[in-house]
Amino acid sequence: MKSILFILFLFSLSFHSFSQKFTISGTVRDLASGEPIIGAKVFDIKSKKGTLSNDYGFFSLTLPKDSVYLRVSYMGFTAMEYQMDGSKNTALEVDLNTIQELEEVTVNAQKNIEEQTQMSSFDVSIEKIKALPVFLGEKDIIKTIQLFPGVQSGSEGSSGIYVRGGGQDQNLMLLDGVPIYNATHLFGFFSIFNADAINKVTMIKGGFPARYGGRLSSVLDIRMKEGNMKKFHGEGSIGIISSKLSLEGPIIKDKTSFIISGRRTYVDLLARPFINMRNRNQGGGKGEGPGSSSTQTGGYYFWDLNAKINHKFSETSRLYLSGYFGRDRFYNDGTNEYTTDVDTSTTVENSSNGLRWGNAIAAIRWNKIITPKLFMNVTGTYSQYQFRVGGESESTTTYPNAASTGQNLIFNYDSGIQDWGAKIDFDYRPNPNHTIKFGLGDTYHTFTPGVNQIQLSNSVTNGIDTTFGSVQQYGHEHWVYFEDDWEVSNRLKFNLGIHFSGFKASQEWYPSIQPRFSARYMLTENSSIKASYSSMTQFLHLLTNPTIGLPTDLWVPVTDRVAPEYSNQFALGYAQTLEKGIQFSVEAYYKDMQNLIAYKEGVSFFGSDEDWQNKITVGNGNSYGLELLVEKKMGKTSGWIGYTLSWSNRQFDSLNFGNPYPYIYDRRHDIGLAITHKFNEKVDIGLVWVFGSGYATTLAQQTYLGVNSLSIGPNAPYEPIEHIEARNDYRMPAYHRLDIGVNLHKKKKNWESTWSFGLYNAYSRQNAFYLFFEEGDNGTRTLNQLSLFPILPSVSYSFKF
Amino acid sequence: MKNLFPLLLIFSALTLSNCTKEIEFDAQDIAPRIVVNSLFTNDSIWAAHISRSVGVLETTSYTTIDDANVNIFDANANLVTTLTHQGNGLYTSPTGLTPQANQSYTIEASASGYESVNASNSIPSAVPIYQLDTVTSTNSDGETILEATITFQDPQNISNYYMLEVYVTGTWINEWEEDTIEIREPLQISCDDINVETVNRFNFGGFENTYLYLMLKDQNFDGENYALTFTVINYAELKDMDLFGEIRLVNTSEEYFNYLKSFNMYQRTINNPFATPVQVYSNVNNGMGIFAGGTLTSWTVQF
Repeated sequence: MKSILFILFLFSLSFHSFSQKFTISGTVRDLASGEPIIGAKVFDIKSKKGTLSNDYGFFSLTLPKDSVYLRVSYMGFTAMEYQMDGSKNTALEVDLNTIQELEEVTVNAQKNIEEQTQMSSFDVSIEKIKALPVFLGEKDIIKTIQLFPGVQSGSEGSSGIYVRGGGQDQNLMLLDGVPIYNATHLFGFFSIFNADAINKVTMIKGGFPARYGGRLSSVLDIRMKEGNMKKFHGEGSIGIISSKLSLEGPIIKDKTSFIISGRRTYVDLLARPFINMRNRNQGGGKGEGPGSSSTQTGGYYFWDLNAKINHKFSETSRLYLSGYFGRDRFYNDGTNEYTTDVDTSTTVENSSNGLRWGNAIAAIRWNKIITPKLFMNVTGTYSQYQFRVGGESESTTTYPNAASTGQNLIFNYDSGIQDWGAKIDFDYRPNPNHTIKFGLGDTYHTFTPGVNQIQLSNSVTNGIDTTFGSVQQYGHEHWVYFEDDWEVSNRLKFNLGIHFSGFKASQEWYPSIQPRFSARYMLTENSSIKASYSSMTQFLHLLTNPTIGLPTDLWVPVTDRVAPEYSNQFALGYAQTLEKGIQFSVEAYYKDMQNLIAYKEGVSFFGSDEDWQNKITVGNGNSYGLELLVEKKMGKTSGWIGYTLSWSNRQFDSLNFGNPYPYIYDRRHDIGLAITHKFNEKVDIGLVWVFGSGYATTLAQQTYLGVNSLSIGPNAPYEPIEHIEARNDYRMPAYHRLDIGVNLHKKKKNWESTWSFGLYNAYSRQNAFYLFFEEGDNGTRTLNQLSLFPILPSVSYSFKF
Repeated sequence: MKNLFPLLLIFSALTLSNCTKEIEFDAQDIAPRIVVNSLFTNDSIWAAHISRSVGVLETTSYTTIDDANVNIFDANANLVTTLTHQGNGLYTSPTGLTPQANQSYTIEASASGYESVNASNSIPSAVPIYQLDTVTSTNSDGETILEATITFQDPQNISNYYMLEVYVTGTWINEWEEDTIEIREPLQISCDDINVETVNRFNFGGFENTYLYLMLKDQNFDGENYALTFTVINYAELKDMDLFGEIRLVNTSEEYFNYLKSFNMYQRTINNPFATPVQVYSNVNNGMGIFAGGTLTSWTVQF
């Protein structure tokens, strides 16, 4: 009885204290466009309590019932201030206006790096992405992210990312919350992300909050714009490789908006005249006699399209429908016609072959502010990645005095993955000291890990129609999470969470409990130390060609025979904001990874009829390092310099004779420098310099005769063997490159234009892409390198209206 | 090349040019090393083939080393024998001196101008075949084939590696030339056993799983009486010739097995651009090659 009374007494106390508080909630948006501002700071100057807006611009701040002086701010926007008497809950829609002046802003417009509990992460502004010079003038989110410490780029020009020693498949790339499986165009030279359609880019390399799961090494959370609710706008650009156009605007003003953004290359169209010229200059096809001819056409192109519709039912309810569709295609078509003297038959051969791949994703999302403290997001998603290489060949032979004959051959190799998913997420802010997120979800995966199809038909015999290779595989991936961003005191803050996930293969169920922990302790007003631990589980693997990433890489699931990958990552860091808003951070990390998969030795990763599970072996890896970052976000001159010192290793019992070896993208030193300077409204320049010590590669350094027999004798045969002492025991030459760009702006009343001139690899460094041995003319052998890109100028014209 | 023209044009357009250049080969050591090839069983004298490796920048051809010092030591570092050069890099021990089962040996080879090399290997105990059953039948082409099943007792709690081959032996009288020919040739055998490694498998005469020798390890039958069935493919040609089949089961060391398996895998994939690279196993310290052995038991059957 006494205990019950005591509990009731405590409850009444909390209720009493609850009734002494009030809640301010609402959304923060860009006044000009209506776009949500993610991470805006909402701060009560009197009580010194504050919060940040979430991914949809929603905020909620519960304060003691007293007068409140609220300041809402975000970098690049003029802060808004509100005075309230604190008598009742208040809904507040905040529209922030873009800062017009160039002067440096010194007030804390958003949380400084030392204040954030989240470590091992960074945001990249779209303006910065557009200001920096890049490869062939194509502004690219991934290329910009590769300039930060802890993020490796892979091979020259590649849009793959390798984060803290992890593989390319260990990055959760989310476009409006939907996972993307192959985020590259043109064999990896460009990413699929069109910067004109993007609102915010956040990269997390460690200390993962519990709401994220499914990949070991990083989260790249990309949020699309929602479309301007106020006015119709457009922007576009014309470059030497591709052109793009974005249109956005209200369908119903302040209620429904859209954004659509498309891009296409035209390299194939540019190459077409040369191909036609070659066709004209070439002689006839095989065979002799009149009427022989041969024509060929081919090319490569990619296109992509982002689209979104956003409808506001009320101040507390919104619906979004978004999609991305993209395709790469390389094609080679030919026609060959010839006549033979022997029987004066005429044969016409038509062939068409090539490869294509692409993504299609769609999401429908409903936001609801249930109470001033509770925000809900319900999402349905669809994601598909498909790759096909194949061709068709058709030939018809006509005879003057006999029936014609023909043959048709079709061959295809398909791989891909298709997801249907649903999830619900809650954002609960009971008081300024706790920001609680929780939710659950499920994804139904369908994997096509490499299927061969051959169809052969002719006019003489029965045809062939066969399909072989790996069978389709299915699985349910589900998760539930809970996290609390808890401000214990002014100095100490935790982010504590638990992510529980599971994957149901055909027989096996793989559950996983993943604790997450981050902590921040303020040493001074401007500096803090941070620590984090993350346990991560991944239920998918990407089987990659060990030499170079190709679209033939296969996404495969865990199965009854193949277990999930696991990782544990520890990180320790220090962060400080220096004078003039310069942010400095240093972090050390250690990550171990288990159940990584790789192709066994000697297996054919393409075109084989063997199931993929028979071709793989399982092993482990680890990585550790130190990252330094100095960043200046404001002012005429801004940018960052980052340095990474790191090691990354792998160990498989059946590879390299069980000995550990360096991961192929183990790069000891990595430097990324990115600077922009704005002279005035009309002119700004950008500079990027990167340096990386050489990646690891395998080179046979000796050859010898090995016995090809079961015993040694005078007649035993011997065969030459290339001796590989150890896997990845040779280092490529160091990589470095300077890119320079200048942007010339012109602004009229309703039209802004920019000419961008750039030099990629400005001092034409011949960076090694591939190493090979070659016999020289004088009987010597030399080691040679193939470089891809010398100095490359670029020019593009972009416009905004 | 013709079909790649559009792709090459596109890449050229993108890159304006692509460049190759010579670079320094920054390897720690590409000086030639001694190569020792020695695969031995208890039914033959010691033999080793000694040659030199060729550094990757050399253009010289492979040559044997004909003036090497090659010695075999036992587990107690006692000299067992010194091998003498017989020509073409082949070094052998005196007749009558053979490797012994259940022993450990070390080979050391040195030659002027090269760093000395050594390798060690332990030879397991013999695993006798205690039963052989044969059955003749007819294949789809109407030819007689011989199906044989050997049974042996796998030692328990030890990782065992086996190699099996079949030889045809005997004397063949060539009546036309009035000549007698001693025959001893390996036979092609077919086997569908799931424990047999398939790296050296090939197709022949309608048989998909054809081998010159079988390799298997006891991962799935440790400590069991194991029956291994195989087919002598060209039995039909041999059966009326008064010849014998020698079935040789070698209990090999792990190193012997690893070399054979990796070498066969290497041979299969060397010209396949879509295959992952293979490291051929070597246990020679400071050098290359293989020094490994096994213990033989055999069973002879008349064809």
